[in-house]
Amino acid sequence: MPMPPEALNNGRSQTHESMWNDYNASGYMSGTRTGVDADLVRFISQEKNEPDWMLATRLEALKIYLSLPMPAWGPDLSGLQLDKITYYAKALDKQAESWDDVPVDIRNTFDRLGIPKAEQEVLAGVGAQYESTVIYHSLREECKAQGVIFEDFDIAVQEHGDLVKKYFMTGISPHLHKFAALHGAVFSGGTFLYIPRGAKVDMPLQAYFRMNAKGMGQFEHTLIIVEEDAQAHYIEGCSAPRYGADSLHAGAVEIFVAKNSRFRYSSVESWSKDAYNLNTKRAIVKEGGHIEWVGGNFGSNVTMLYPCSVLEGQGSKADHLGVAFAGQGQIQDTGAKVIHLAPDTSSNIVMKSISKEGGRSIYRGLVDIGPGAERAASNTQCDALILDEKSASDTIPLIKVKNQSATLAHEATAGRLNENDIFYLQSRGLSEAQASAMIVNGFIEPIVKELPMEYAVEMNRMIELEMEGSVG
Amino acid sequence: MAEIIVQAKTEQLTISNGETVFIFDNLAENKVAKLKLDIGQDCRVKYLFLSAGESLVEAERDITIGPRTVFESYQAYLGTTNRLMNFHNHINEQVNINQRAIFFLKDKQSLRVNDIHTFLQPKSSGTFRAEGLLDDAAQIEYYSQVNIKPEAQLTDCRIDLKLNLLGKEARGLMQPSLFIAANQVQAGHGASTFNLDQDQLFYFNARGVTEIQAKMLAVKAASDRFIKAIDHKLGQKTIRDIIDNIL
Repeated sequence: MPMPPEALNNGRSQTHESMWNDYNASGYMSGTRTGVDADLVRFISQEKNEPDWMLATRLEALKIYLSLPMPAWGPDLSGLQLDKITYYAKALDKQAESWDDVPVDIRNTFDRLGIPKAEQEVLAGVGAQYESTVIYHSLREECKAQGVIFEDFDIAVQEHGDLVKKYFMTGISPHLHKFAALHGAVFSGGTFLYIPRGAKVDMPLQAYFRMNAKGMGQFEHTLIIVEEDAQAHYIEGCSAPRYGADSLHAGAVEIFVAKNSRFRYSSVESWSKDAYNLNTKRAIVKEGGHIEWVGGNFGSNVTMLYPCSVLEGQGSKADHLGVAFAGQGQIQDTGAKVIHLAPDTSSNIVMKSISKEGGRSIYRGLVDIGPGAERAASNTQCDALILDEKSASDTIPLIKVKNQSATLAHEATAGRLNENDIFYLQSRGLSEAQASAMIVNGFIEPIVKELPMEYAVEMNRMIELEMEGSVG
Repeated sequence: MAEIIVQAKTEQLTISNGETVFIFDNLAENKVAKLKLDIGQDCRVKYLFLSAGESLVEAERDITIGPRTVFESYQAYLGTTNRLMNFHNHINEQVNINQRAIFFLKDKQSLRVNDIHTFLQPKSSGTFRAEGLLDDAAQIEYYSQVNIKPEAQLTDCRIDLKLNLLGKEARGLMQPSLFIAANQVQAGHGASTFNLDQDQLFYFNARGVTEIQAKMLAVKAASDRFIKAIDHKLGQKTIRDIIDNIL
């Protein structure tokens, strides 16, 4: 959805700027420690009064974490000092019943991010996490009446333990990679969403994760269970201020999409430019189920994020739509993975990336057609815009085909802004920067149009802000 | 057009500036594991590489292409087993490179190809196409990588990979990668798989063509396209004989 010319004159997006520039005093950090070991894991589990099985799961994940090497592929992570990260910090003793009960400085942060306003206007439910714990959660009564459960993950462990135990870390095994194992050991907060059989939630639900303190790590766990014939849309937003010291985000999102259900997961990640965003997201999709991923990646120092769909059931589908923006000093290593295991499964991947001022965007993808995936079909399209001579773009798709009946296509392009297009828009009164921003907004339009209006506008503003002074 | 047949024990070949030449590199006969090919500027070179049943495990070709040269490269992998092939093209200014590869494997034959094209200087263009046909339980790993260095502005290139799995146990892995460090470029890649589906087979069967014959037709059609493009009698005859023998 390109912004009209008048909207481009609105100046810098205050919301977007405040995400990275504003932070609150963090006195609660005085009682915290850096680094991770079994004592910390036990402390986190004890703080949350978790059942024994969860502590055992955490400790097992810690063992795996300590045994696994750092990833030997992808962006250089040698600058990430894991022993200087604070893995757990609790800003509030208990979750607030209403926004009025949230301390003023924290409430102001979420006000600036527009969360309470969106809750009133367009959302079925909201969760807000600040550092390691969820400080506010709500769900509309009509959703509760349908049997929808939307909770802070820590509370879900207490109140819906059987459901959590059945699914937790089964979609994302701690053996998957080092940061999945780290997550399994120190996760805290996050979202539990349960959509019962046949329920259809028309308005999206949203969770927002905010890191505030310097050198913080955030490890929220999102567990979503969508029962048969159900339908819902969930949005996650994330941000952190800029300190000049590394912070780490290693969350996990596990989604279980049951027979004939449909689920859309949207996220706009706007980490500060000193954050390592090493997130893991995976959906398991049963017969006739449909998962849609819509993602925007902005900010961060290094992002490594490849949402994965495992199509286990016959006729299941996955759509992955994503946009990544790599600015000065940033590496956006993003992509998508789809594993086709059943007959008649299909997937569609559309990825757009923009690199400027020395930024590097990387599309890294996998389409794996298993032996049992008769008549599977997959289509991938990735397009890259490289805005100046210092920037770079890589496309690294991996295609594995183990079934002769599969139909598969992949297309990728890379190029720069078209000078004729800029000239045309300038001849109609736009400045060069405005013209460039408009073209870039048009470039990412196929992804942005899948977001609710409010989020689409915000993403367009982010592009506008990122594009300032970057015509090349 | 002058003709060079790569002989056994050849380690390096140099093509002088302005030459027009056809190079036939038949791995089954010359068994040259490593060859460095330096092509000067303003040349017109056709290069045919053929790998068919030889016993070498690994082979490497390192090719430097001089400014303003037109380079046509043809690679045929026919019935090779447990082979690893490494190709690296270093491409200078205003080069026009057109590469075409075909592979046909059957039984439990397997092949891995690393095909790297590095654009070093501005204003070159390249198309890199590979078409594979795998029958029975054959396996291929095909990595085609384009690197565009910061100096290589105005590069225009494209990779296209097509895989046809004819056998139920056949397996393919393709990775067409782009690493782009210049901003005034056009670069793209495509990959697709296709197969003889049930409707097509039904159509063939209705006209008295069996499944085996239909597969042979697919292989013949692909190889004929490749052979026609080579436009070199010895190369064409050699490949046609091998295909006929395999089928």
